[in-house]
Order: sequence, then structure tokens, then C-alpha cells
Amino acid sequence: MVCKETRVKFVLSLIVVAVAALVLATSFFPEEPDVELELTSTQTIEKPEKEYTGPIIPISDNVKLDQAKVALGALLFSDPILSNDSSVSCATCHRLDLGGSNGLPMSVGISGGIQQINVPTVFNSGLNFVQFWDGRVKTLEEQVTGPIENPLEMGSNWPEVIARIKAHADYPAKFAASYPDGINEVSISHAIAEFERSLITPNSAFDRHLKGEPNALSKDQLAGYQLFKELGCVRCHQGQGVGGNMFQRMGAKKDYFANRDDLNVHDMGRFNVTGDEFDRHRFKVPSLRNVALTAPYFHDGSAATLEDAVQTMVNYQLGRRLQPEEERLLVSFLNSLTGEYNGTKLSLGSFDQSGKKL
Amino acid sequence: MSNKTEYLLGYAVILIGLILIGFFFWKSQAIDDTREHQRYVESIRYLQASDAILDQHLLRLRNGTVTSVDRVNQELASINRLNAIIARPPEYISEKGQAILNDILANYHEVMDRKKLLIERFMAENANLKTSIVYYPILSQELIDSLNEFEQGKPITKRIQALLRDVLLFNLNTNPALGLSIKNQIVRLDAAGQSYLSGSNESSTNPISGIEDLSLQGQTILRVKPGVDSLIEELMSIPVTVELSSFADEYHRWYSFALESAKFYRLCLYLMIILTVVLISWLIIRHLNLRIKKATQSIEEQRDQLVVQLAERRALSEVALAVSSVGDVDQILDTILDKSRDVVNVEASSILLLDKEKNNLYFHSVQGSVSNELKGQRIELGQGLVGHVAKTGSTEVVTDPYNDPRFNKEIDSATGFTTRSILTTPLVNKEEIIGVLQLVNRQDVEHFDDNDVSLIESFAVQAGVAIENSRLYSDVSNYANDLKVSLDNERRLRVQKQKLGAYIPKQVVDEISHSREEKIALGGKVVRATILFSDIVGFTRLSERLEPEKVVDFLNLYMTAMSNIIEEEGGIVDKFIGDGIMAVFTDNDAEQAMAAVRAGLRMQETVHKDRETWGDIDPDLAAVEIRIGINSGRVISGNVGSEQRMDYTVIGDNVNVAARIEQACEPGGVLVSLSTYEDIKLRVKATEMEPIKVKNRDQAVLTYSVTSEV
Repeated sequence: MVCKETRVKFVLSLIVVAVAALVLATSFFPEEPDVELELTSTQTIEKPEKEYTGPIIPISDNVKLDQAKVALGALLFSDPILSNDSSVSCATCHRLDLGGSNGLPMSVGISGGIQQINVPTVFNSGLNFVQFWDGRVKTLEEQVTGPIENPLEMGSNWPEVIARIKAHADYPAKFAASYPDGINEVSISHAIAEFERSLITPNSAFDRHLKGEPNALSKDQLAGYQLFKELGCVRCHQGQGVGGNMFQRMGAKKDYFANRDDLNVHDMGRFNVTGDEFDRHRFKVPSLRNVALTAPYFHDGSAATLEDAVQTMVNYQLGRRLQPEEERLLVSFLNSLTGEYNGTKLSLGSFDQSGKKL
Repeated sequence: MSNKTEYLLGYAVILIGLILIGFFFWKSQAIDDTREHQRYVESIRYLQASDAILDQHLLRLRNGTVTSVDRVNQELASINRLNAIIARPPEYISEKGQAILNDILANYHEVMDRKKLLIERFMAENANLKTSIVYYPILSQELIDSLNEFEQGKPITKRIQALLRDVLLFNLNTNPALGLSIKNQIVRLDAAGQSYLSGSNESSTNPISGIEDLSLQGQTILRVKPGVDSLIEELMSIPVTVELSSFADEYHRWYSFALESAKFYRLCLYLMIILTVVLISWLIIRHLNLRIKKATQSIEEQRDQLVVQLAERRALSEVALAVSSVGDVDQILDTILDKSRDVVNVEASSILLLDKEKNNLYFHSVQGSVSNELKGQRIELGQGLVGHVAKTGSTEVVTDPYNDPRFNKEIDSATGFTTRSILTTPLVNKEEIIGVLQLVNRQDVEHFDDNDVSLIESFAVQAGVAIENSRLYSDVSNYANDLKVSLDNERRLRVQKQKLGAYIPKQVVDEISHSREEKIALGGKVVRATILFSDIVGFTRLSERLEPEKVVDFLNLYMTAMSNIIEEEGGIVDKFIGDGIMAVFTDNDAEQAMAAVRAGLRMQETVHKDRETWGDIDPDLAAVEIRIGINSGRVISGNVGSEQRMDYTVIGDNVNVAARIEQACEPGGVLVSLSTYEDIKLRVKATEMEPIKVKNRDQAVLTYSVTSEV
């Protein structure tokens, strides 16, 4: 009887141990996978809200940016603190009141230093697939270093710039608020680039047309767009930026530089970057967004007006001739590419140098 | 290996086991989060997808179904981001795997960089080509239309048409021969144009510029088209997909390896846990076993002890039984020796008894190898260990006899015996040492211990009792013989006693008749006694005055009363001296003085009470007073006189002192000497009186008059 009782007790304790072991074991049961995997790759493919099948795509105003960093970048952008003698800021050349450029054929840096290359507009620079005429850097962040260290532009260097910003009354606190690592080359570049990414000009008449707005374009402009496509301009000036997404030889059909006796290093274009003969005189196709505001044109600023530019392009790049009527229609179309910055249509003088609405 | 090192080893192994468990757990958790793997695999997949989309888009660019290159740039950007992700293979991939993956990645990047360069060029050249290809037929048609207006333009038109056909053909199929033909045709067309120009009027210059334009476009096509073709061909054949597939395969291989490793480590973990648990259990069980073993051991030890104690008890009780049974003392002593050897294992043992007459010890019983040599040998008291113990009466244990001065080496040298240890204990009977029990050379263990000593001492007590019993037994048999003679004598004495009673004190008679001596011998012994003297004040004058019958009547009354009192108090009426009485108190040293004084006080009391009745005989007797003197001290007691007439009495100076004190006593009083008073002073009321000068004594005797008992 006693033996039976102990055996029952033994079996009971075995069961208890087994149950405890099972309960313990369940804690080792692998976690069920999440139903929706948060994949980085899904973030890489940003599908536009609407599929545009045409060669030109409207600018997306759906750009997510850190507004504090944008504001900080805006301050730095118009602050001459970046230049060696505190005389030149980014905004000195990239004047937001002049379509993001300086209205001159060349850039004018510290001590009147002249760089024989046209200032590309800072508007929509974030849409460009590479930066600079020769595309020597990929990103806006990388681009920042160029002007700062160019002796003809800001003539400064990073240690100097960082020291000056660190010594500034306001910047350290603003940087500390946005960048855990504080003031350094990366954070300064990022702030400026972030601001530049905010400089988009959506909602142009043409974009509104693409988005389906009736009567967004005039008849001439529509005809101009048709001509733009027929002539083949759109082969290079396409995409969201109407350009800015590929390289092309300046003088694709005819030698643009044949009659030039004053060739300088800037005329070599991408050759300066790759050293490949193929790339001689090859430049990044500039964006035609807000092109009406960014005269003079081309890397050398040789075309003073849109008409000049259109003529030159049609001649050298397409090997064609343009009737005066065609020229008028094309220019009319190009004028429809002027967009809005912060909700205000861009025009000469509609903003001050730092981009504030006037 | 000692228990402690074994335990330390056990703990060390457990510690190592726990460390290994931790290690295996860490290793088995290497791919705990499968999301990292999924994310990585997804990245590779998206990369492959992006590459495919890229290729697709390039082909669409090539065949002109799309114009925008944004998508190309988007995919390239995607590829760049994905490249950054896959550039760091997950940590669970082993170092070797990482190296191999990185090698493939390096190849892939090389190929990818080449592809990017080709894409860059392709996009530019393709755009350039497309403008010409699209424009060329339009321009040709325009030119043909304008030239057809003129007769001389017609041959040129044919050339243009032929060229257009060839160019369009060239666009479909890049044939170097066709290219050469086109080149020649362009040259001829240019020449035809020039000749046309020279042979025509000014109004028709437009077609000429058209021919120039056509030539430009044709040359562009000739120049760019093969490049674009070879670019797209190379682009399509560039092994990005292959590299990515092999990368994916390799990654999966190493992932599987990592997974298998993790599984293996998990198995190791479980095994290790089991092993460690088993080890811990084993240690616990071992520990418990050891404790049980220890407990069992101590229980066994206690049991053994109990068994030994039981054996000892049994031996003791057997000895006690042997001792209590009437038997031969030699046999009993042999039994005692045997039993003592049963409980205390020794090589040899012996009992020596004390010969009082010769005052030495002799071997009574001996057991052991040399028992025969020793039997009967004698050892002087104080000589050797046995002699020493017999003298001092204390048990001795000697562990190194040859270095003990008390040890007698002679016996060893005489018998050839080697003594290593000795236990010697005295045999005692009624506080008198009667012999010695000796055990030699403890067996099994090194030396005699306390247990042995107490055991052997109890045996010695038994031996003592045995010897005593033996003596008592022989005494009793002697007594039985004596008893018969005594009974005869008693009968004879009883007759004599009645005769003697009138003359000899009753107690003396009793003493004589009870005496175990066969005859009353002359001579005496010195004893302490208290002697009481009394006489009647002025009895001489009174007796002269009274009639003799009246005197005898009175004396008979008086003496009977006094004698009764003395005998009642334990005294002996030694003799009547006229009217005086001499009584001796000899029994019980401490009480004899008090008995004498109590007798004296009672005598005075009786006289005062009874003298009125004595007045019936004669009125003068109603005022009788007596004096009583008592002294204690050493006297000679015995039968004094001749063989025929013996007087049992006490004699000595103290008897005289008593007589002298009696004479100094006040009538009606009881006067005692200091020696008597010393024994009774706490129990009586007394007054110190004048000291009395006694003959033959320098110092006066201090006297005390006792008035009553307390």
C-alpha cells in the first residue's frame, strides 16, 4: 500500500516535471515571422503616384526632408562664413532671386576670382543624377566641398570652415539639435544638401499639363512641346528634370568647338574626370526646368538668350535648321517649364538672394 | 585522489560546462533573428530585379519605346543602395564565407562599374543616334519632295532613296559592308549635290543644304550606330546576373552552413546541458552516498562498540557469576584472567597476590607463553612495576617499559619475553591491597587505552571480591565447626552465669559468655572508659546509728535502684564499695561520657524521689544525699586476679581521679572532670567548680558540676 502510494507520487512528480519542461521549452519556440517584412529594399523603389509614360515627368512635390536641417542648411547656404574672407556664400552665385544662378556667364568668387564656367542653377539640383557640369561627384553632399575649396570660389578648406562654424554664436546649438555628431564636414555638407534638396520647383504650367490640367499650356506651348519632341530635343532633355540625368557631347552632330580658338580646361567636360577620349567635350545635359530664368546658357555661358541657346542646340546637337516660327514655339514651350518654389511661381526678383519671397 | 580534489575537479568541470553552455548558447543564437537573413536575401533579390529592370529599360531605350532615362538612373540609385546593404554580409556568415562573398562582390562591383560606364555612354550615344535615325527619313522625304520639282534633281532623288533604304537597312542590321557602301553613297551624293549646285540656278540652294544635312545625319548614323549596337550588346552580355546568382548561391551555401552550425551548436548546447546536469546530479548523489557511507560507518562503529561492550558485560557478568558461586579461588582467578583476555586482547596476563607474612608478591595465576616459568616466582614489594603498583594502589599503564625505571627487565631477560606495553592494576579488598592484576602486550592495537584501563579495573574489583569471598567461605566453614563447641559452652555458661550474676557484673558475664574466646584469659587491654563513683553522705555515722537489718534493707533498695539505672544507661556496676558504687562505661567512646552523666543525674533524681519511702525504714533515711563523681580516660580493662578467682575490672589513674572527684562533690551534685565535660559540654548545663588536686598529678583537675541535661 505504501509502495503503491510512493509510486503514484513518483508518477505525479514526473508529470509535473514534464509539464514544467514543456512550459519551459515553449519559451524557446521560435518567434513567428512578421506578416509584413520591413524591408529596406521596398524603400528603395519609390513608385510615383501616377505612372507617366511620356518622356517628361512632373516634379514630385512629395519629398520628405528634415525641416530643421533644411532651415540650418538655408542659413549656411547664404552665410559667407564658408568662404575664406567671409565675402562669398553659396547664395552669392546661386542667387535664388536669379533662378538659382547668377545671371553671369561665369562664377565670381572671393577677391573677384573668376571661374570660366557658367553657374548651374541650384533649383532642382537634387534631381540631377550627378553634380557639376562634368558630373565629377554623384551627390549634393559631395558637391559642397567643391566650391568651398576652389580657390577661385570660396578659397577655404574644411578645418577652417568647421572652426569658424564652431566659433559661431548660433550654429553649435542648431547643429547639436539636429546632428548628434555635431559640427563636422559631413553634417555641414548634409545640412546644405538637405536645403538644396528642398529647392524644387514643382507645379510648372507644363507639369500641370502633364498632370492633366486642361488649358495649362497655351496652343503655342503645346505646339512647342510637339516640336521639342519631333526635333529630338527630348532625347536628352527628358525625365523629371527635363535633363540632368545623362551626359551628352556638346556638338553631337557638328563640332561645337571647331571654330573656337579660346578653349579652356572647362571646355573639356567629362574628359577632365575620366581621361577617356570618348568623354572629351561631354557634359551633363542640364535641366531645362526654369530655363527661362537662367540665362546666359551653356557651360561657357555663350548663349545670352533662350533663342540663341535653342538655335545653337538645334544646330550642333541635332544637325537641323530652325524656322523663326519654330524657334518662337520652342521658346514658348520652354517658358512653360518655370515652376513654383514654396508655392510661388519663380521669376526674376520674386525672391531675394536667400530664397525669401519678396 | 582525495575527495577534496575530486570535488574541486567536479566543480571545475561544471564551471567549464557552464562556460561551454554559454558559448554554445551564444553560437546557437547566431541566426536567432531570421529577419536579417530575409532582409539580406531580399536585397540580393531586389538587386537582381533592379538589374533586370535596368536591362529591360536599356532595351526599351534602344528600340525607342521610351525616351526618359530617369528610370535607368533610379535603378542605378537603387542598385547603389542595395550594393551598400549587401556589401556587409551578416555576421553569422563565417570569416571564410565573408572572404569568399567579398571576392564575388569585388568581381560584381568591377562588372557593375563597367556596366555603369557603358550605360552612361549608351544613353548619350543612343540619344544622339535616335535623333538622327528619326530625322533621317523625314529629311530624305523632304529632300526628295523638293528635288522632284526639278528635272535635274531626279537622279539625286534616286540616290537619296537608295541611301535611305540602305540607312534604314543599316539601322536594322549593322553590316560593315553596308556601312562602307553607305559611306560611298554619301560621298557620291555629296558630289552629285555639288554638281547639281553648279548646274542650277540660285533659287534652288535649299535642297543642297538639305543634302548637307542628310550627309551629316547619315554620317552620324554610320558613326554612332555600330557603337550603340556594341554597347547594348556588351551591356546585355555583361555578367552582372551571373555574378549576382553566384553571389546568391554562395551566400545561401554559407547561410546553410551557418544554420547547420547553429543547429550543431544547439545540439552541443543540449548535450552540454544534459552532461552538466548529469554531472551535478552525480556529484550530489556522490555527496549523499558519502554521507550515507559515513553515517553507516559510524553506525557500524557504534554497533561494534556495542558488541565489544556487550562482550565485556558478558565477561564481567560471567566473572561476577563465577565470583558469586562458591568455588575454588584459583579457579575463579583463572576465570577472571581468561575473561579479561577475552575483552582486552593481550599476549600475556597474570595475577599476583600479596603474601602478608613475607610481605612480598607471588604469581598466583599466569597465562601466556611464559606462564610456567613465572608461576611461583616472588617479587618484593616496591620492586618492579607490580611491586610499585602493589605499594601505591594506583593503576599504571606503561607504553615504553624499557625506558621506565620502574620496569623490571630481569623477568624479560630470564624468560626471553619482550614486553612492549603493560597494564597493571591493584586488587583491592576493603581498602587493603591484596594483589596485582597485570596485562602485557596489547594485541591488535598499539597501546592500552582508557577503555581497557576502566575495564581491567572493574575486573580487578571482581577479583578482589572473589578473593574476599573465598576467604569468607573458609571462615564460614570454620565458624560452623566452632558453632557446635560454642553452643555447648553456652549451655554450660548459662548455669555458671546465674551463679556468677550476684558477684560479677551482668554485662561482664554476658560478655564472657558471648566471647568467641574459648576461655577467659588473664590480661587486659587499654580502653577508653568513663568511671562513675557514688557514695552516701554521712553513711558511716548513720549505719553506726541504725540497726543492721535496717541498713541491709535500705542498701538492697538503694543499690538495686542505682544498679538498674546504671545498667539501663549502658554502664557496668564494677563493684560496690560499702555504700559506694563504682560503675564503668566502656561502650561507644563518644556516648559513654554522656551515658555516665545521664546515669548520675538520674541517680540523684531517684534518690530525691525515693528517699521519702526510705523514711519508712528510718526517718533519718528521708534526708539521704549522695555524691557522684565522673571521670573519662584511658584505663586498663580485663580480668584481674588469680586463675581461680578473677575479677573483671578497670584499673588505672583515671579510676583514682574519678574517686577523687566524687569525694570533692557537693552532696546531691554530679561533679565531672574536664575530660568528661569535653564530651558532653554541649548537651548539659554545668558550672565550673574549684579544681581538685589529685595525687600523682602535677596539674589540678578541672571540675564541672552538672545540674541537668539540656
